[in-house]
Amino acid sequence: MKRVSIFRGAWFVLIVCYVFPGGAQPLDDAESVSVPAEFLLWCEENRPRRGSIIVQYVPSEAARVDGVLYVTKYGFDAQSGAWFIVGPETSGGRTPSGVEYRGSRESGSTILDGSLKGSMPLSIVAEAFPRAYLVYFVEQPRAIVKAVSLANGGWQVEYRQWIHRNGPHIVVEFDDSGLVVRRWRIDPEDRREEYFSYSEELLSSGFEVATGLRGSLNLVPVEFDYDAEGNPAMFETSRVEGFLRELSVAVEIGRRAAQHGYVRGADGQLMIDPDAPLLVSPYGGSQVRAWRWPLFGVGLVFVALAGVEVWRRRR
Amino acid sequence: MESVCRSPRLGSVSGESIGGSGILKPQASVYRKEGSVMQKTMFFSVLGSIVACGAVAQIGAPPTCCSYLYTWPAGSQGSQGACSGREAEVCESSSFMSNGNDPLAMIRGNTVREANCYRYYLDITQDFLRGDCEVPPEEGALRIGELPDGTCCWIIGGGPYIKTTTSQDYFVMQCENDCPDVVQ
Repeated sequence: MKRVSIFRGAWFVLIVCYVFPGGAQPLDDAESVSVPAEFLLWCEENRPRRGSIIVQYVPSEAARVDGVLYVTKYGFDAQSGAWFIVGPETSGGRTPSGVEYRGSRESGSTILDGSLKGSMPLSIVAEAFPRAYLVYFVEQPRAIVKAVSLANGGWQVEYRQWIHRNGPHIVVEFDDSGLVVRRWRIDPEDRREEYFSYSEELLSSGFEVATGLRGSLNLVPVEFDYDAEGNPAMFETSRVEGFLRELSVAVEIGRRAAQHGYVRGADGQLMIDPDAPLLVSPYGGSQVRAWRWPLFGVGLVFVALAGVEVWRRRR
Repeated sequence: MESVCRSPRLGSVSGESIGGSGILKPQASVYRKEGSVMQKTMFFSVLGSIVACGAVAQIGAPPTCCSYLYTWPAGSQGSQGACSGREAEVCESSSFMSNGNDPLAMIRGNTVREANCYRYYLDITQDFLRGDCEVPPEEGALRIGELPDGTCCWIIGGGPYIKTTTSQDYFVMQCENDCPDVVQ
């Protein structure tokens, strides 16, 4: 108990020094910051400290696109603050050493670019792992515009998504345990209010996983790879590039299979659709398409020649 | 490139009809043999020239692609219409007569073509933004298509967007060449 109280005291001093530096430290913009030190202390107490998680999301049944499984992986390492989001088309995140990156299937590589600094904050991955917000606010208290304690023991926090440029502020509401209840943008034309719900897996672990992501795509978590000790190696760009390739290939296989009449069964395996009236579109390839009109023309000419020949012989 | 393709003149075949049935009766065996050779020669000449013309027309046509705009089908847009909100479905759509370099485009009409449609799902931190087509509005912005007014739609914001692709039948000007997934 004594250790906890010494620890809390030290953090309180640190946080007070950082948040109220006597006006000596200028902010990046002119907005005033009103961050109660208790809030950052509360964040520090409720944040996950160690461990890593990688979760595989797929669109809910109703949101499947042409039967193709668009898998997206989200990862978060609490100790280093590394994270990633990777899908069949793009990837992005931050390595354990703090380098931000982006990658895409089209470019075929990952961009490690210093100019990305600050454009890939940890708060991005909080849509899947909402406790990442707590790590982020401790890491970047300057992003906080306002934090108000709620009667239920939770907090409502307004923060700037981008420290170095303009953009709508976001308000996030926590319950007393540090879980996000809802969030929205301060933008009357595009509020995008989201209520959070959580998977049954890993509840109360500090790595609670949100479900129902990305609007109508309604991503749901299906595979969990949780390591209580943390596995930062999984967050290196080479690993994430590998995920990107793997997911891209899986989608390509799925699309081609769907074009040839295959569907996914309940177990996720590809199978021939028993209800499909026509499994394969005949002569549908681009090569055949390119030649079909000349071939059709040749056929017409021969029919015409035959007609002429029959007519001539009748004469 | 202009190619002139001529078919050889069709020869005549001698004979008389049997009882008006349309069946030719040969006048002499020598004529039958000569006529048969003649017919075969003509047949293969005509076939060869037609196939050659088709090949020249196909190969001679420059490798054109749809110089297409994008369409934003209703139902997936924000309050500001195309290029707004947090989701957008964007479909390629060829422009009239392709880019004019394809000779076959002159004889092609409207047809149903399978076109790619892309649906973008943004998170709370990302936005669509209209802007100049050549100048990215910010570092790392992604251009997702051209709007009918000549401006372009971009995705801005840090995190990775999520994109799905579908193939849909669209009533467009026919363009046999493949279009790239994303025009950059």
